[in-house]
Amino acid sequence: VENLFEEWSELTCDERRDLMLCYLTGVLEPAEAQDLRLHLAGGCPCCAGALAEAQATMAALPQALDPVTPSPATKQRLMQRIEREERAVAGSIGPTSSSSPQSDRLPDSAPLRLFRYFVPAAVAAGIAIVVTHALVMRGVAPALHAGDFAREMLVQEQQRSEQLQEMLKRQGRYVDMLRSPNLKMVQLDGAAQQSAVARIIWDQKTNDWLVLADGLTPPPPGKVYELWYIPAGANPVNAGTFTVDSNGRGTMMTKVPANVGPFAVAAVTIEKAGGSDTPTMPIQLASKASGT
Amino acid sequence: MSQGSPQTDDFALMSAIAVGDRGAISALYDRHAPLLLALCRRILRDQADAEDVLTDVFFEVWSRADRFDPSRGSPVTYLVTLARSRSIDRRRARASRGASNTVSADATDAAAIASPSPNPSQSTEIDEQRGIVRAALACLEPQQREAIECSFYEGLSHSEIAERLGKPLGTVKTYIRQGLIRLRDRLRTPSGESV
Repeated sequence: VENLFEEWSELTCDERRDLMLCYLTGVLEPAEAQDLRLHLAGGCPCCAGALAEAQATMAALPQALDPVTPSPATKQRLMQRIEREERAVAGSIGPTSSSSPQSDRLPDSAPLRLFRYFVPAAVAAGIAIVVTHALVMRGVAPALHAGDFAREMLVQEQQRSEQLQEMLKRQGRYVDMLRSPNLKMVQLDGAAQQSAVARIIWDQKTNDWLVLADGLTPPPPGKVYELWYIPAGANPVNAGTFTVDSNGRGTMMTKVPANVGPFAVAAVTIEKAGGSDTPTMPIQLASKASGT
Repeated sequence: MSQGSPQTDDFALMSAIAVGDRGAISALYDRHAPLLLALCRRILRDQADAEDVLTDVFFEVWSRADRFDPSRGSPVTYLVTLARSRSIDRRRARASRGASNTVSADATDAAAIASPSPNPSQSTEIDEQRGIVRAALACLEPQQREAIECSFYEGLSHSEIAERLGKPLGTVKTYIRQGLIRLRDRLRTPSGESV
């Protein structure tokens, strides 16, 4: 994996501005694309503006096409799918299984195990929301008249309630993803951390990745774990950062970066908070090299 | 919804979607589905596949509303980027399965069977924008336009385009780079913004 990480020569901002359009269409050489990513991550305002301009140019291109009205059934399918998702998030969690004959898809029992991983947390969050709501309505709300302290408590409880609702929504998305019949699992084994392991549950239709890490040492202060998507023959691409709890468990949902080529390897390194654009050695976890 | 500019309305719709307003995703769909379906069809050359991707795109907008960052671009830019990316992904997946294109490869195919936008109140503005973009494309050299279309609509790499067009790699790179720069400059309004 290490030999995939190379350094590239610098370009000027004027040269980058002209490359920005090619970058967005995905035709740049890997070295040029990597240079742009690094430079943009550095916060250059000139190139950030050039990127926005290039994105707007790209978005204008389809306007040359005559619009095509979708069939009414297409919108109906969309709204039904949204309704199903809402029901799932609301807690109507049912059993699922994969009947795919493909050997690299998850076995039937795996999604059920994963359900067990998430459902208790989702249920706990739901209960917490109800309890919080009861506290706010019955206990704290009357105290509003008692002064600023009670108002502050109410604000804190409402914030807590919003956080729990967000957590529940997020876990609902995980559960919804695990219903997909297109799941594949990629295992990352410990490199620098021998006893750690991570699994990527990959929905090959939507290209969502659900990452479940276990046994990782909590990163040093100011550091996070960063996941890398490494396409075949190309540079590593930042696929998101995560941290772990005191038990070494971490969860993250991300999407396979678009237009970066077929997947070869996934790896995890320790990086500064907010993530880096190039991996810092040593590699903590890595998958075996494979094709899609 | 207040009567602002279409862009302002789009931002308001995205904010409403982020808080779970189903009416907002329905309105966003009504406004942009015809443009996005034209794009998906142009890339996939298949009506059923294009409508599938269209559904996926709007579902993603709904379920991942937090991913839209208004500081990084307009909602329509976001939608077009998603639709193009998902369509090219599907096109590649289909190619890897060995499926053949089910619709004519004629580049004008989508336009030939296109139907008008369902919202007449937007048609004047859409027509005007279409005219501007078509005029900008018409200013390109034919080879530049062809190379850009291979890149934008088919997601081909420089080397794949060179093979397709039977031109040296360096020549294709020059076509695309110069063509895109010319397009960008043509589409820029007097205030410096793109169309």
